[in-house]
Amino acid sequence: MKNELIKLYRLFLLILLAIVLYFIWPYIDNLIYILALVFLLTTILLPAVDWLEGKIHSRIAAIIIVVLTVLLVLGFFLVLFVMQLSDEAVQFSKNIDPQIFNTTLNSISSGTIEKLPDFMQQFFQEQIPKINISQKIADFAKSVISQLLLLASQIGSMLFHFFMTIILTVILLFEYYNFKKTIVNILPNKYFETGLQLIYKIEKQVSRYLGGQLM
Amino acid sequence: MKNPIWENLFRNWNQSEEKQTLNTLKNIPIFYNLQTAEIKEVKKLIHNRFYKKDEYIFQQNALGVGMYIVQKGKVNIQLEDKNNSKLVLAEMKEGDFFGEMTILDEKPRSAAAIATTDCSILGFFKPDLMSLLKRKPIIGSKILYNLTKIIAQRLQNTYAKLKAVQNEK
Repeated sequence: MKNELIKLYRLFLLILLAIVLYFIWPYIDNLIYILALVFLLTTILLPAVDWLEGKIHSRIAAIIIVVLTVLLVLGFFLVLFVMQLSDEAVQFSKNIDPQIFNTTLNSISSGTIEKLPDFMQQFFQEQIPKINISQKIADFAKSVISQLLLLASQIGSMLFHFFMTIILTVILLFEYYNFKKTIVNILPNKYFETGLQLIYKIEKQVSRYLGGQLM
Repeated sequence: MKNPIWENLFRNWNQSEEKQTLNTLKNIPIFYNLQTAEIKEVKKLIHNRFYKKDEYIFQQNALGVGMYIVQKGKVNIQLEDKNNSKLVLAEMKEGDFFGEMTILDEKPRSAAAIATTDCSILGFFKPDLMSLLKRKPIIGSKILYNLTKIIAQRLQNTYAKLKAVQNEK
């Protein structure tokens, strides 16, 4: 009877937790994604940090070296990608002859207008001079500025997430063994050794799998 | 009434117990010759567990992952057969350790360990030793060396007993 009551109590707690999570999820989802990413990064980088710590006898130095190396490699590839993209853009714009480009555009526009019915041709000839070019340019400039502001805020948010991920990864790498110990301490005595074995095996397999995928 | 879950969860919050753990570890042959800083490093990997009277620490034939040190209380190492009859092989008290063979091999436990009083137990496990060997090779090597010495000592004792039995015949 007592056991059944405990089971019911646990079930109630689980349902309560699910309900609370359902309501607060939209507010914490970003944080959860960051934490998941941090955990994955930690799992990938841990073997390298442990190995380097054995060589230089300082965990924090090992973490800094590994994280900086990863950032430098990522940055190098990003710069390489951007440079190649800009080279391609420059090459593409060089290949376009401005005169041929203008002539082609003009011939397309005049050809299109000629193909239109007479009443539409007349409409375009009357309306085109009435279009307020300066207003159009001002509207366009406004929209470009607002888009740029939006882009800036998105870049800011992305940078914030990026730095948070890096900082949390460094902290988790430093405190990894204490963190794992705390998790293991939650295991009940009955399942302690089995749970411990399971955690170690999962940790090893996930690390190997992610490392392999990364390679 | 102490609850093992809460006891295990908040064990690290108790500072005097931290000191006691350090003192216990210093007196364990596996950690002999380790300096205080090195013992502190080992302590980071040690799991403090609380077991109630008559609770199993591990079952016979269960796959073991490491050794245990009795910090407080008493533990019986016992053989159990299919008829549920139990033969107590040894009684472990404060400062004694057991299950150290599983650090070297991954064979199932040859006997069960059961708490005969409320116990505070320290656990030291093979994967943690492996990670220590990788991160702090000097400390890891010292522990492995001590473990080898203990096993050699036991082998010598077994050999002496065997010889005594042979001489009696």
